[in-house]
Parts: sequence; C-alpha cells; structure tokens
Amino acid sequence: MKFTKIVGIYLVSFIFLALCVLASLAWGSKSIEFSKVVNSLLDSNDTSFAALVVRERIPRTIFSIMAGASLGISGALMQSITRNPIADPSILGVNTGASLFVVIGIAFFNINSANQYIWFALAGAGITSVLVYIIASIGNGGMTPIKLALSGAATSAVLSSLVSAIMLPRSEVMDAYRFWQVGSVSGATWESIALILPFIIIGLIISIAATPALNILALGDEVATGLGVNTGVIRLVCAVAGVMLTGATTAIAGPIGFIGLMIPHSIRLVFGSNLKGIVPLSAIGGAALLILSDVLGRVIGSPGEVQVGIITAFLGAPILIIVARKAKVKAI
Amino acid sequence: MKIMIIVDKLSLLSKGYGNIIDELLETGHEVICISADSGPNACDAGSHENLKFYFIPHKGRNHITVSIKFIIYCLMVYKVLKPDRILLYLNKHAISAGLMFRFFRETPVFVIADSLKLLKGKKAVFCYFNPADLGKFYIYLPTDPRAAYLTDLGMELPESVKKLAETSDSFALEISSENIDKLADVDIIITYGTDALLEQLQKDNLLGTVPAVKNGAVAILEDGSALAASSTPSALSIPATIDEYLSIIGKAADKVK
Repeated sequence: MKFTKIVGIYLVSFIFLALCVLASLAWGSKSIEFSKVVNSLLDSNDTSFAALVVRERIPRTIFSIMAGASLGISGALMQSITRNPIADPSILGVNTGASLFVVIGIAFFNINSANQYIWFALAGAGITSVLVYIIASIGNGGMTPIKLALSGAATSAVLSSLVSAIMLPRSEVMDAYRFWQVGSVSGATWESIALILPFIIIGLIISIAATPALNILALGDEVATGLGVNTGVIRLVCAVAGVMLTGATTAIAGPIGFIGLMIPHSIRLVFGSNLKGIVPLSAIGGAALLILSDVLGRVIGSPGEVQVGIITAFLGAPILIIVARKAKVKAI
Repeated sequence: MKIMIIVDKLSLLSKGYGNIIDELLETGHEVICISADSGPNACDAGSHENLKFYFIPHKGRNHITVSIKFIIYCLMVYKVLKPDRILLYLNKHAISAGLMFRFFRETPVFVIADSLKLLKGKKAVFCYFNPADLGKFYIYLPTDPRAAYLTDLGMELPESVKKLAETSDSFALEISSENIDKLADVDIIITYGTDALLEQLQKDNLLGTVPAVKNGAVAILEDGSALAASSTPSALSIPATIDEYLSIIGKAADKVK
C-alpha cells in the first residue's frame, strides 16, 4: 500500500474513533443537551447533576477504548497463532478461566467489588491459558495450532461445568455472577482502569512488536522456521500478550464476545492480510465498535441500560455471517 | 386485663397518636409501663390507680447496658406482676426485651401499631445493587412481594417510581445510575448487601447524590442471612422476622431528613 493511502486510512479511522468518543460522552441513558455536555467538560466548577453524569461517562468511555482495542488485538493475535479463522480471545480458555476464578472468589472468598474481581480474573485467565498451552504441547509433534484450539475448547467445557457446579447451589453467587457474566462497561472507574492499565500497555507493546514475526508465521510453520523465526517462542509470547489484554478487560467488564472475532476479520476483508495493518486497525476498530455498542445499549435501554455484551452479540452475529460468506479465510 | 407496655421513652407513646395509656385505662385495663425515662413527668399520662410506672436507670450507659437492663427489669416485672398481654413499642431497647418474651410464649406480645409511625408515609423503595457495577441498579415494583410488603408496613411507593412503573409490567425496573436524579423523592432504600455497601454507595459520584444515600437512610439486609428472607413475607416468616426487619428499616428511617 502507498504511504499516503496508509496515512489516509489511519486519519479516517482516528477521526471516526474521535466521533465515537464524542457520541459516548454526549448520549446515554439520561439525555442531556449537547451544549450542557460541552459546558460540563470545559467548566470544572459546574457541579450540576448533568455535569456529574457527563464526567462519569469519561472513565467509562476510556475503559471502552482500552477494552475494545484489547479485544480487537487479541482476536487478531489468537487467529494468527492458532491459524484458526474462528479463533477469538476466548479460544485459550481465557474467559472461562477468568469466570471460574471470579465465581470461586464470590462463593468462597466473599469478593464483591470490581477491584477484587480483577485479581481473580487475571489469575484465572493466566493459569488457564498456561494449562491449555501445556495440554496442547503434550504428545507427538509438539504444539500445533489445531491441538491448541482443541485443548482450549475442551478446557473451556470442563471449566464452565465447574462454574455451574459452584454457582447453582448458591443463589447469591448466581446473582452477582450473572451480572458480571453478560459483559458490561458501566462498572469502570478510574481506580479499576489504573489497575489494569499496566497489563494493557505491556500487551499492546508485545503485540505491535510481534507483528513482523507473525506475518512470517502466516506463511506456514516450515517456511517461518526456514526464515529464522522460532515459531514456538513467538506463539508463546503472543499468547501471553493476548491473555493479558483479554484477562485485564474481562476482569472489569466480564466476558464481552464477538469483538475479537469480527473486528480482525472485517479489517482483513477491507485492508488485506498484512498484520502490520491488521493489529493497529483492529485496535481502533474494536474500540470504535465497543463504544458504539455501549452508546446504543444506553440509549435504547433508557431509563435503564442494555449491557454492551448483549449489543455486541446482536451486532456481531450478522457481521460474522457476512464475513464468513465473503472472507478469504485461507489468508490467515 | 393486665397489660404491660415496653417502650424506650414514654414520650414516644404520647406524641401525636393520642395516648395509648389513657385509652387503655379508660377501657378498664390495668397498665404497667416500663421505660428508660427519668420520671413520670416525662409522660403526660398523669397518675391513676390502675397505672404503674417502672423506670430503668440509663444515665451515662451505653446502648448494650441499657438493653440488658431492659431485659432484666422486664423479666422481673413480668415474673412479679404476671401481665396478660405485652405491648411492645419497636425501638432499640424495647425490641430486645420484646424478643425475650417470645421465648416464653405464655403471654401474647403485640407490636404497638403506632411504633410504625416512624415508617408511616415514608417513601421507600426496595432495590438491588451490584457492588461490582454501580452503573445501574434495580428497583422492585409493587407486583413484587418485597415492594408490596413495604406498603403493607405503612410506607409508600415514591411518585417517581410509580411513574416509571407505568411503562413496565415486569417485577423490577432496571435504572441507569445516570437517572438516579429522578429518584430524589425517595426517603428510604432497602436492599441486600454487606455493611460495606452503604459506604460504596456514598462514594459513588452519581448514586451518592440521592438524599436517601447521603443521609445514610439505607436499610441493608445481610446477604444470605435469614433476615433476607423476611423481605418476601410468608405466614411463617412474618412472625419470625418482623421485629428485626422493622428495626433495621426503623434505623434507616431515623436518618431521613
């Protein structure tokens, strides 16, 4: 692609993302006049309730950017390292692992705030993906993409039955868990954002740095090895980055589906299969989609809110069908 | 009939409602009154041949000592005078004495309806908060027994919630915290949770603006406790838990400004 075209694409996508952010601040469950929104952002002395509402939308929007970008990138990473077109961040069992640990925390350690969920979710995501990785590496031929996907699916199935086993006899656990499990960004606070920020930054740096190697990996393991890429190490490093990104997001928002699946595919459909473009554009696309879904959920759910996890599933399914019918999935 | 009245302060009986002691005396009952006042002039009941006062010394003591004294005094008076009925004015100390009499079962205990006047007409809502996500919360509507029970106890559903309820045929409403300003007329919030919940609500930038939360008028039913069952009343749960339930709501109602 020509340099000017690349600059143009990034420019347009950043402007689009900026518009999404503006929409997220301006629209919500409570309708506030636009002039009032602007005023409450500029004038810090404005202590009216509307101003408070608008300012409360800021951490939520920032978290949506972080979460959407993380999910988009880790989807692209997972699809590359597993060479599996329907891989998404949950393929290594990250989401079910995080869910299991959160349920254990609620049931046995009486945790009930988002900041406590984070550590359980991160630990669960990490331990589970290590387990999935070890299982996939056992046996003849070492770790292959197909074994990784199978081991992830099997582990997820086992863990989700454990989740049910712990949760079903305890109604108060079920209450707390089912709200977390839908996936919602409304619980984000500055405090929780600060807690997960290091994980997201490290994950982002790793994934950007790993894109050249991932591009070579796309040529096939034999070619990549011949070109001097250690396929095992690059898979491991990218998996760690993906787990960090998804784990940190899931810890606060709960498992949000579909973004990691449909964003990299849509980007690939439009901009080709160079991961140097897919990774950053998936981040922007994921952030924009998550913000738009959240705004939509807030507006149609007023005076309540529709959780963003429901909206992404609702938007995701048709897009996925279009992608599946059109996509050159072999390009992965 | 010999009637024993247990009340924290006599002034609670004579305020507003009309004097229950006078009424009982007029209808020919014998009244024994136990309270933590300093003397009979704290009450405008006056003297009567069928009226006896017992005052429990309470100066400079903490609440627990007064409650224990209440129990001991009530027990002594009960054993000596053997009343036929016990009337209980639900409040901090009287409630502990009243709970004790439930174990005897020989003498029926009645809660003085007037003691509910603290709750009477207060605008109360039964909510569900998820401490991990205070961006939204749930209000139970009158079709849910939790909310209906509150109106049975003399409280009212706030106009704001009535209005929101018109559009819904569900048992509960999901409200975004952005719309909490619509609930400015709520006096008392009843909810499940832990003791830490009130502090979490007060710290929240949006939820913390509601008068009920600001004043601390939030009655919290401990998660998973037997008390949590009292919110859905049944023939068995009402006698078992109404005193404790009312005392928790009463405590919250006390903080309404």
